[in-house]
Amino acid sequence: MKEGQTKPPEKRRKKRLESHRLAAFLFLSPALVFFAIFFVFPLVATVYLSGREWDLLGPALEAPGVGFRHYVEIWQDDRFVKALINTFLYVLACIAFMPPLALGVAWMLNEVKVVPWFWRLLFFLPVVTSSVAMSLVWQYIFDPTYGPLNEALKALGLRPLGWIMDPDLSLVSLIIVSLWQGIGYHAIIYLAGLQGIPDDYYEAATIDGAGAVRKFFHITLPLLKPTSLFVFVMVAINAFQAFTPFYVITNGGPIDSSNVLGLYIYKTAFDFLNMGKASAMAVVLFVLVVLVSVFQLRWFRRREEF
Amino acid sequence: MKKLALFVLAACLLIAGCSGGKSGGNGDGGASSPGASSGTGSGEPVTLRILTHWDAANTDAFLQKVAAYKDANPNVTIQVETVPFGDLLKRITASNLSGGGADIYHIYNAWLPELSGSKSIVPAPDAYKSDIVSAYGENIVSSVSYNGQIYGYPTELTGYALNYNKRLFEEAGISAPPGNWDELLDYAQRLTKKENGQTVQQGFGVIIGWDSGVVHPWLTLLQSNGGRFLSEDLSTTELDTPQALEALELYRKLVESGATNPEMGLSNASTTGPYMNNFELGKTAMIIMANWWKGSLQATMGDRFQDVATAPIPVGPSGSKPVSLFYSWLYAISAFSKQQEEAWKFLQWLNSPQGEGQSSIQGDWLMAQGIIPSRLSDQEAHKANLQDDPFMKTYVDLLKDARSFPVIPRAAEITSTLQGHIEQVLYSRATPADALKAASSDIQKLISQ
Amino acid sequence: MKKGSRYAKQAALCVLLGFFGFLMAFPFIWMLLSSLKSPEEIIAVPIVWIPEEPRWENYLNIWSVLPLGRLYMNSIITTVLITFGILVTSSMAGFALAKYRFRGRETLFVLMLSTMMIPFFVLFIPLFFLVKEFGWTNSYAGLIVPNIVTAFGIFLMRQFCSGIPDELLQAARIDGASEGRIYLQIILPLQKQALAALGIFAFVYHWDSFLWPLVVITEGSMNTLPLGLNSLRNAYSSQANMNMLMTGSALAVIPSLIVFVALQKYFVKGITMTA
Repeated sequence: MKEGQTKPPEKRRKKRLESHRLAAFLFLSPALVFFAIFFVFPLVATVYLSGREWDLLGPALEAPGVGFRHYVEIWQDDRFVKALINTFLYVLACIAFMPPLALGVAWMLNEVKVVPWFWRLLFFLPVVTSSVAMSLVWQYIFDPTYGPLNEALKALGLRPLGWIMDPDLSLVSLIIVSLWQGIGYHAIIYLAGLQGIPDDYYEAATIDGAGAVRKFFHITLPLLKPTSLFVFVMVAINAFQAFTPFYVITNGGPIDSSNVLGLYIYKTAFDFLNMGKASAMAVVLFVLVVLVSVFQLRWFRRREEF
Repeated sequence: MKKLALFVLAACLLIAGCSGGKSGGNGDGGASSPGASSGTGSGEPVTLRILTHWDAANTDAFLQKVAAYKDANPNVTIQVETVPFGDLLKRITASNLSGGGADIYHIYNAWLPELSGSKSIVPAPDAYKSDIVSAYGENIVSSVSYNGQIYGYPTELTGYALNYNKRLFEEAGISAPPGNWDELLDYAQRLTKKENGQTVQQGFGVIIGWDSGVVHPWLTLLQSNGGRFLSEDLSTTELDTPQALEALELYRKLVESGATNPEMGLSNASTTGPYMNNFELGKTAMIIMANWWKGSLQATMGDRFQDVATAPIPVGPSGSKPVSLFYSWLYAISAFSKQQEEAWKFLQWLNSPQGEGQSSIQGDWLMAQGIIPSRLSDQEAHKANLQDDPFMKTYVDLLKDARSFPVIPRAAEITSTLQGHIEQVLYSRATPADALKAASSDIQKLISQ
Repeated sequence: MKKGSRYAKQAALCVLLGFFGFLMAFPFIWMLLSSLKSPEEIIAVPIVWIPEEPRWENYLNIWSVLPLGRLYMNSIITTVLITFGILVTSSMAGFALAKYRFRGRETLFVLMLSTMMIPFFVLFIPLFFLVKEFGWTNSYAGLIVPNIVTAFGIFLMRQFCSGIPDELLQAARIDGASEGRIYLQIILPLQKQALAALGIFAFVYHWDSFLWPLVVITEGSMNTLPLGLNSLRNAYSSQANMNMLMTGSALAVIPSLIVFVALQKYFVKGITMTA
């Protein structure tokens, strides 16, 4: 340290930067190595496969090359386009509904003083239950003929609906399942955000005569911004990846009305044994998702400067 | 500058990735070239693994029945690995990638083009080939063949017939099952009940959401109307014919009259779900379904199973007789198996008559589940049962004229495509004419690729 | 008066939470109820809400169908080790990304973030090649190693570490602490609660992991719980046997619940990652 003090400040800074860079590299190296092996390689391989005609059964390296044919082909495939539209609708619906609902639940969980752990557990239940099993239960609940949901609607004097068997409602039904599954998860994250807000902020506002609504919009919401952005990012990511409930409950039907990209990629690869086309769709999905994440991160960084 | 560094990094990773892939591929090819190792000596312990989709009860029954093989071949152990039907093909692809897995695959014959084309399974050696040719009917042998090669021992034979609920027919004052489409439409409407605009009983049930479940029953109607799905040489679709239009118009009329409610048809390949429940609970009066589900019907319906009767497929206005559809399953040997000879020997033993005029073990086991054995000697040995059982008799009789679901490459995608277009009509989203036009052009594209 | 209104507020909250909580718990309750039903009650019309004679024996019978002990052991070993791996790698990488400035940091972060968005089944065929090449099929290594780094974990820890004031690090450096010591003695203890939260996320996620084990494992003895449940789905393919499927699912949920209940105190505090 003493030696450093005698050097000109510019040089010292440089040296420290050097040692920092080494430390950062060392801390990052396990993650980087694994990313390279278990993400970058598979991703490169997927790009490679998107230019091949491979049926998954034969040797992959002997699969004939087809250039960019799959990339042209998918846009002529109505089912792909439909799945793409459904995916966007689904992602938008999740982004629109999940955060406010989760925040509402989190607010209640934060305020309640009677057995708080019990309520938390209740809302977190959907997150810890097996998604395959819960999807089967939901399929049963939504059944138009004898599921409990329509039974309840009838008891309330309402008209029973077709739910997962109605092409106009199947996507809505799956959005409901996703909200059910995700609210607890995101509510816990919001709850953490709420508990991070110091009480004196509110006390000061009370002294200033602010009402509950004003406090919420002028203190809670702005202070929750980082949490909200995290929740938005996570919701978008999970929504793009949605698979299990779609696979188990509707399998994309009726008539592709709930077909999403994840499911269609999976079907193309493993049912239709067309790994090339599936990989091309995967690459398109990946590019879309990178665009979205870059957009979100830009937004993120701008907010962080406050 | 920053970007350049990134590119260099990416390029390095790319190179690392590609070389990794290459060595991976080579290793795979070398270690597992088909047929590299043949039969094992008689003394060495051998474990034969069968990959299949049977349920727990059937698997247990099978293992009990084949325990006898161990008596004659003490060195051989038989193991069964089961996965749901929906995962079976995926498991086979995974086994191929890892160059190992089960020795014997129990497979759906529609997968033959892909599995044989990729050399995942091996053709039967001559000795077993002649056994198969002589012991099974010609249409059965051809259903387990592809490009002139026979790929294994046929197991179950599944056909389609009309299933109906006698009690509901009596309640509606109908004495016999429909023989033609006019009767089908008429009865279906008389068998439909609605309360407050909701269907509480539908006349004719269809499957929604499960590709083969949607396509196969409709094809039996098409074929019983004198039509076909594909031309004889399997090179073109015949969906743009008047017969096909009539068959799809039938569905439109059923839906428009309210006699068919697609919302009651949810089903998938792993669980038969609400579609089946509605029939079991007497909420659906008629369906066209395969014989393999007799066991499940019996198990869940109990005493009410006696209400279930079967009848030939109703004949359409342009048809002359019921022409059903069938598909088969077979035991094939994995090309990656290191004990192919042992596996063939076991399969031959399993499928050969246990004694003069007796059934094979395979035949007994299939019959116990209500499945029609495909071996001629098995059918002969179980003749009494097959003829006495009114449920099965219809299926057996229909098999004479039944047509195999075409064994062609991309069958899964073709089926799924046709499913979509049929469902469009069932949900009144497309007219039959438009749906057929789109279906034939889509499917023609898939066939020609 | 003030006390009274506070009680009223709590009562109103409990009613509201009770209502929404019931909606959240309903499918779960339905699962438990169904697991105690007889096959006839499962498909009965009109609906049987509460089973006439609860079939507790379903919870015993299932052990003869599924080798549950083995399944639990495989699942626990796999999930615990994956979780541990994720905690270690995320903690270090998150710290480095938040607290060191170096060229390409943002780009690297975006790249890592974007891997979160790749559906897993897109990657798993090439991944499977690798695992096979390493000779890890049918082994714990095959189940565990490809999963021990997640972008989500790094993201979470980076966000958390951004909230740690730089002055803390500067002070330690002036005191002559090495970067490694700073990490071990300052950062790691601060991360504890965030790591507990991440641990719950990771545990719960991998406990339910299905697709990857399905591909890597081909021998029954190496099956994890979700794979066992899946075979159950096959063994009882008719809807009427859903009771057994529900029994198995209920048993599979228990460890996740225990982890959540045990760690939930840290969990909420831990995710407090405001800057």
